[in-house]
Amino acid sequence: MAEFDPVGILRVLVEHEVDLVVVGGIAARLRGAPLLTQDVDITPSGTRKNLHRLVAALQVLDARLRTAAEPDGVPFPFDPVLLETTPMWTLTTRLGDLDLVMSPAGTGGFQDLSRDADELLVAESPQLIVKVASLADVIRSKEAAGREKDRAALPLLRRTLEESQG
Amino acid sequence: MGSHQSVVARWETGRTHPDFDTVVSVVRAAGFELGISLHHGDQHDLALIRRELTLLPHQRLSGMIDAVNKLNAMQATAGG
Repeated sequence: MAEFDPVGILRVLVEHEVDLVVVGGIAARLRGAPLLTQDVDITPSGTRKNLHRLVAALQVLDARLRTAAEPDGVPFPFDPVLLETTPMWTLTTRLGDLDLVMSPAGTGGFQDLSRDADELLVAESPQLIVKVASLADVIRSKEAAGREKDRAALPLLRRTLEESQG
Repeated sequence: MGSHQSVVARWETGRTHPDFDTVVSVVRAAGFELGISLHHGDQHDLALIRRELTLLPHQRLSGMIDAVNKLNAMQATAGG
């Protein structure tokens, strides 16, 4: 298995000027929650121009569709029109797993998450800055999704939010 | 239960939160009773959170990547 390289995944997306918000476990970790995750979750802007840039980045990342039966992924012809049709895409890339969450549960999608997101430095050399969802929004999304793994993470996330607010 | 649909919609999207008495009413209206028990707080988690909050975002992410890749390497070794 290739090493999980979320910074590498984000770097390719940024190099392709994909307008996105990092959500999910990576956002929670960047905000101070001591949890582990093995995938990068992003919510891209849904404009056609942005989805074209996203498709170009996915090609560079050798993105494939990830399923329970095929964790190593199956080839798939991504295109901007297709990306719009499904609320979530679970992918695997040469740098690790990447989930495209077009509209996270309990949120209004990219525009809604952007309101409280911040541009954070996620790597130093070379510098990489990405837009990261607020911890309150990550919690809101996990509460609404209601999956068992999301519910299990909620106490830690809420405690982190309390501590970070002093 | 007497709560307007727009109020319930705001709970569902997380924009507002019902107070405790309302939660009890909602649970009861759904045919359940709400059970509550007290547990000691997890001080280990709190220590980890406080340590993490002393770091910068990129340091937090870097620590997580190291931990995940070490875990994966250990699992690969254990799996032969």
